[in-house]
Amino acid sequence: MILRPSREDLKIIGWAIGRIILGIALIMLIPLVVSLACSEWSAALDFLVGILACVAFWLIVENVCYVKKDLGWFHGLIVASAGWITAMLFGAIPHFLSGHFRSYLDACFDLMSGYTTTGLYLLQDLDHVSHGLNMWRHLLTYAGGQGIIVIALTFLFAGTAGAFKIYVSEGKEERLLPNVIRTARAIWMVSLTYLWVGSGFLWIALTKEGMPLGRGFLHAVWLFMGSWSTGGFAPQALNLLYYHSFWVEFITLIIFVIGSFNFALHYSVWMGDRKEILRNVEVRSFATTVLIGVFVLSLGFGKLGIYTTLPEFFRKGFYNLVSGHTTTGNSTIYSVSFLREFGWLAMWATVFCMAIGASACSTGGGFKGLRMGVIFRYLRGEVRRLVSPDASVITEKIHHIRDIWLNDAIVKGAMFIVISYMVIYSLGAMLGIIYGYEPSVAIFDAISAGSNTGLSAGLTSPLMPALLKLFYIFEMWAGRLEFISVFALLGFAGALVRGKGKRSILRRRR
Amino acid sequence: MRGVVVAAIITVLAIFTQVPLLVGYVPVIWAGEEEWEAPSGEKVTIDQLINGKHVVEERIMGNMEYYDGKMITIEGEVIGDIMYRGDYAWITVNDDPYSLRKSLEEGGDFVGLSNQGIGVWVSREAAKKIMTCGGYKNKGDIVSITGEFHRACHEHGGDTDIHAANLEVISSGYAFSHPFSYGKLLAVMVLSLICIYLYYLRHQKIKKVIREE
Amino acid sequence: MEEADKTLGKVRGRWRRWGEHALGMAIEFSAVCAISLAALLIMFIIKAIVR
Repeated sequence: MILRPSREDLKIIGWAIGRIILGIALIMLIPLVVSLACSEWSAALDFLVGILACVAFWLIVENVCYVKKDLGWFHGLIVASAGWITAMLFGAIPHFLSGHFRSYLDACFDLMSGYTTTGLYLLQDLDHVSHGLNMWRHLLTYAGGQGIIVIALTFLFAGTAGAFKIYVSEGKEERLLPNVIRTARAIWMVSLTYLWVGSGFLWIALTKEGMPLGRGFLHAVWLFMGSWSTGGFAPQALNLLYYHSFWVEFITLIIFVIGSFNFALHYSVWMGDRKEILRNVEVRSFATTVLIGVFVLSLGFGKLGIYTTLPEFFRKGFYNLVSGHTTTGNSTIYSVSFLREFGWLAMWATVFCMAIGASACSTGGGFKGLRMGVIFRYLRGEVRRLVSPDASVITEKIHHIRDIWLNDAIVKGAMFIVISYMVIYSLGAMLGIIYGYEPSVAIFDAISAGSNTGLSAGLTSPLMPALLKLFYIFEMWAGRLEFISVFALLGFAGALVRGKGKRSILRRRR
Repeated sequence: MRGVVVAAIITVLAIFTQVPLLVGYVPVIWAGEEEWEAPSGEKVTIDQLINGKHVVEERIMGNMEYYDGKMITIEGEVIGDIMYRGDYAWITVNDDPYSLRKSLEEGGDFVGLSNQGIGVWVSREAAKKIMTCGGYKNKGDIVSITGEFHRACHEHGGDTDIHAANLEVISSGYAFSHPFSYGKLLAVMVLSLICIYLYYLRHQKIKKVIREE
Repeated sequence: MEEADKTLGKVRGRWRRWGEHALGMAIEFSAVCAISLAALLIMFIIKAIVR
């Protein structure tokens, strides 16, 4: 029997979402400062409107939803999934006011793409966009990469025991430290340190390549944010091709690969457990699948006879493949080139890598290396069981921070998520094909959206049908939150409509 | 109750998704029609495009192999920065409708594309002719460039680029006038008042709770 | 040893921590480089075979 959530449940959820929106308002202060500093008054007003709207929402929620109760597990799931949607609606205000979007839906698409670190965009006339808006675009991928919830946790949830319950719902299952607020801060420590180091190197490279100091600095910070968060936004429409620079490409490559590592891995390596980088299942899985991808890619290129010299292969082939694999989406070629230049083999190598994606508890999306590791080991165990005598007991383990013995529950959990990804990939692809796009393009972009990659083979454009835009928003959101909280939200909506009685779901669940 | 919720959801969806677009079918841009509308509005056939004045970059991008190594002429707005590399420089030339007609920043219409541009490798002296680069505050110089197109340039690590033989500035750029938006200012003021009022309410409420305790 | 760490920690704690972090970054950097090099090697071999 499904129970209807009580008014109190709704209030708790509303209260927490209000806090998240307040967090969005705080982040918006940075682009406001940037546009004021660049004397872009019109853009500054956009951000002021956005900030005030967020603050007003927060205050309304604070007034209406005051309850003395802490969050439960179920609430956490709902807060995460609904919080992202609300954050999208409010964050889209400056985007829409900037006048670069044909509809609010387009603005929402860009916002969801930013938060989920996807990198597809529907913004028109990007090359004439203000510095303030560019700051906001990149900042929101950076923020979304660490997790909007993580940000809210760091500053706004101090002292609530329910905080961990929302944290987990955001597709980050691991606690680096016993205390969730400290975990959030550890994530920030890693990200911010890299922000300084990475932007510094990029600034040097950009200056060397002929960018003026001031714009070079802004571009360095933006490129860092776009690549570290595996978002893939760049301030110019040509993306990384704009810079025509080996060094900029090399540094961003390093940044997004490191950015796609698990935060737990960063933390243990930084805290002295240096062997972890060799033993970690996700690093091994990533290396394996990248090398398989490179193998197919080079076969494809070799057959067509393009990009065959080493630097060309590195900058056009390897870069885009790894950009896909880490679900970043920075590209050094035109989006049509995936179809027209890469050829079948190379394009499918990229698709395969995009679908697998980065590490769990990182900024990336896709199936995740951890799950690939689990499934691979499980299959190996099955094969070993087949060839062993009946009486022998065979168990497999994976190493992630510590050794984990595989059991049915772990394998089932991994399979469930992987199958869910496959379902949204194929639904998106089907929808694209129904709308009349070329099948390989439709599949490419659907997987790109579902795995939060952001490479495009040319389908994603402001002219695509609205239903497809909506479905892509859903794909990005569900893919980033790894489904569980999305299913919870759907269940919650169902319970609101069809549930029986007035009792709290929370009490029932316990 | 259930009916109301379903109706509400449908209404929101309908408004949000702009129903006409929902059923509309939009072809892929790269579908390869026989005729192509150039940014200037005239219809051009593919034959006219080759070595002609309006080589729309979208056209080239769809047929890179065909154009590879051919001399082409493009016309477009210089965007972003001029990045000097020794005796040469990289510039980016956009020839999408936003660059050739009106940018959104000066009140242009939505075209439904993002920008289309290409990197051009020009000599230092030619690059010096460019005075304004396009951005938020400026419309860049419109230049006409004749040069060799490379789908994967061996000299530049496989970049898709044009090595310019000739660069001419057709019209010089200018600063956009961003008129001050009083509507947005009004929105800011109204929202501030609402926020102040709500903050006052919250303050009262907290006080009340503390007193009760 | 622990004691010494603690007394040193007061003076050099922050720098040591930053040192550790820098080392961590360097290790992560070299891991990425190793993967890239392996990839280039594979490409090289394939190129030799396909041709």
